[in-house]
Amino acid sequence: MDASDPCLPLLTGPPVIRAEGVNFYYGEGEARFQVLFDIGLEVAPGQLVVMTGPSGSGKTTLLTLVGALRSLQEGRIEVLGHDISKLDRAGLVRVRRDIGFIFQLHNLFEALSAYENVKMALQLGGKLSAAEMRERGVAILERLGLGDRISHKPRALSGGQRQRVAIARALANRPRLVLADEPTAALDQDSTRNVIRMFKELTVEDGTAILMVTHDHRIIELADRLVHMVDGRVVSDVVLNDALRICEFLKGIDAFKALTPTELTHVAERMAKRHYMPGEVVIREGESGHELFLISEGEVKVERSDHEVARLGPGDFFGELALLSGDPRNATVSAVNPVETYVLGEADFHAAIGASANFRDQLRRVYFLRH
Amino acid sequence: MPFEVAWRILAYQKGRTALAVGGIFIAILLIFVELGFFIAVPQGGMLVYDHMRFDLLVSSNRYIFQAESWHFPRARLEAVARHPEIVRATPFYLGSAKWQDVGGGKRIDATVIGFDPHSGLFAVPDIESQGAVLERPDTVLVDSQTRPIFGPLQTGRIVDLDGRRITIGGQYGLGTGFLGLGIVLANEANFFRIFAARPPDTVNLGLVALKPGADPEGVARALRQVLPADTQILTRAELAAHEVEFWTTRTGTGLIFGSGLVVAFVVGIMILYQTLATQITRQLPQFAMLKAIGYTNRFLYGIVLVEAVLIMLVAFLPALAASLGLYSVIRGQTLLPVTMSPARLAAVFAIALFMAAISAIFSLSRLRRADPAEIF
Repeated sequence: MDASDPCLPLLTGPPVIRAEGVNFYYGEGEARFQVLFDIGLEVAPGQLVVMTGPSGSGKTTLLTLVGALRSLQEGRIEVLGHDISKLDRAGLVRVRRDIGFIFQLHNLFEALSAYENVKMALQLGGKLSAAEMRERGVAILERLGLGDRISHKPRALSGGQRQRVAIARALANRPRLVLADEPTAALDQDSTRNVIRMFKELTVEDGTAILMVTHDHRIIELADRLVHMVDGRVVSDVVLNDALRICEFLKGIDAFKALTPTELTHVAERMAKRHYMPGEVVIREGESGHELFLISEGEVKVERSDHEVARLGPGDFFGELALLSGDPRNATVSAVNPVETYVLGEADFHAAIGASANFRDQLRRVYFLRH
Repeated sequence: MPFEVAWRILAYQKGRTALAVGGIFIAILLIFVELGFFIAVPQGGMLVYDHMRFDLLVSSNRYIFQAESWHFPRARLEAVARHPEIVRATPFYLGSAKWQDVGGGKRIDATVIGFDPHSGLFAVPDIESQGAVLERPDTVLVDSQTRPIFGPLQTGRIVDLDGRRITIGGQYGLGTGFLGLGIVLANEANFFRIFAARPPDTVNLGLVALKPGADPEGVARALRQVLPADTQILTRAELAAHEVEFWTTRTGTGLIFGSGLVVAFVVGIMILYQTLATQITRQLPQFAMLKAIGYTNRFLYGIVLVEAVLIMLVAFLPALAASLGLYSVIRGQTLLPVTMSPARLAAVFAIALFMAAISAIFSLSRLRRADPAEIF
């Protein structure tokens, strides 16, 4: 799990899902009503994104649009690099093959055994031999705790076991995107824990993106992002994973663009979030400095000798001078309004500089511009 | 690939599958039997012709079918016989006489055939070996398939035919075909004794034998030039086509067995459609799931089509076996030429395959209701 590198997918390759200005309507003519309003959503590889919202908020409709199960009406959705608004039916079918679907109902064929149901997904690619399919199918069923249920028909399985077979079917092809609707609703405690662990492993190890409608708090705790929908609109889109959040923030700042994704991750993971109330002093002139500050929210004023010289806002950083030169702080910085900062310690700062000549040069340039 | 899924679905729902197989078994069996009759019954009209030696048939231009062949002047046959390619032109007389037991009782219509026993007209061993019997005065042979209402057919029995005492001289086995319920064979002299009022210079049919190697078509063309419009010439092939056409289209035969055939076909489609449609409806979410995860409609159609064909195939062999049994029963009971031929086997198989395909196509509309967007 430590292999987590949330910056990497953000900075390399296109997002797995990119939706822009998506409107969707049900019905026609007089009866036509809108269920989705100007939806914009981006999901990067490796992200576990949970969608919540009351029923009728359009979550499932959005899921079917992203899954290429419905034709788009207005707006644009790219899934796995395909602009699905431009695809014909056959193209949509091909896109679906690269997506793992987990439905609320398991929809297993009663006539087929657990393994054969999983095989229905495995044989779609048409590339695997019978032996390879067997090996992979059995492996994933075993991983989901169904090693002794491989040849059982659904009738001989409990509700939770059936749902796990359906999950195995969705994950068997190691899809780069998984779309799921309440996948843990039918599961007991142990199975749920097992399944959630598997989802998390997929995102971390395989870089699989998962977009899931769920109200299961055990999943939400592990989610990277929480998208909340009400009445067809995304009302909040919160990054829950701090490292991920910092990454997203850092990648938008010029000075950090020089860092490789790995270096950026390194920095992001070592940054701590710190809040300041209005009027609170962040650094004081004349004190020795050991930290670099990056403003994510709010505004600070910079005073030298009780004289305001600058104001800094989100994306600006300060405190690098004392770290670079070893001199005491040359200004006092205090919060104007509630401020959120990401703080990087001295040792990590020097490690980052030592690791990247580019980063050092970038900081120097900023430094000279200010003086 | 659809095969495996189709097979597993059928094998899983054993009860439903067995019902469908049973239904299709009956439908295919019915098709075999109806088709057997449809083809064999018109051939019943050819039964007597089929056992006669001739190359061309001379008949009145008012000829309808063998039992209603009308008549023409005997002199026409003499004219025909002068053609160099012709060996013999044998007159064939047909009459209907009332058959009554000498002790009285019911009067039944019997068909009497008059011919010259020396002509070798009939290729029937019993008739050829009893030529001398036919030469005895007021003596006839009776077909062993003559119906029981005619009473016992034993040799020596004397019966009343149109008021004349006639002795049964023996039996022969040819079959009555569609000439009547009872058939009596007489030489020309005895024939005219029974039908004393009949002018002796008219015949019902003339059966022409050609020299070996002669071309029947060519001779027929030549004769048509010579003969007046009241007579016509038919080759064996033309005659067969005419008789079959008559029995198929101008009588109830074609309608009865033809409609039986269609009904069996439609019933088969309905049984299969019902089975497939029910099965699809029950598994609609599963089919929708297959569409959602990236299966094409063609794959799903394939599953349904394979199911239909599998049910048909499983039903076909037992139906074939049962129809072979039924055919032999029908042959024994009716002497109709109801036999299994490779062509008939292939035809019924093709019909059954078509039946399976049609029912599968009908049930596809249900499959289209499987909407992958509805299953989240």
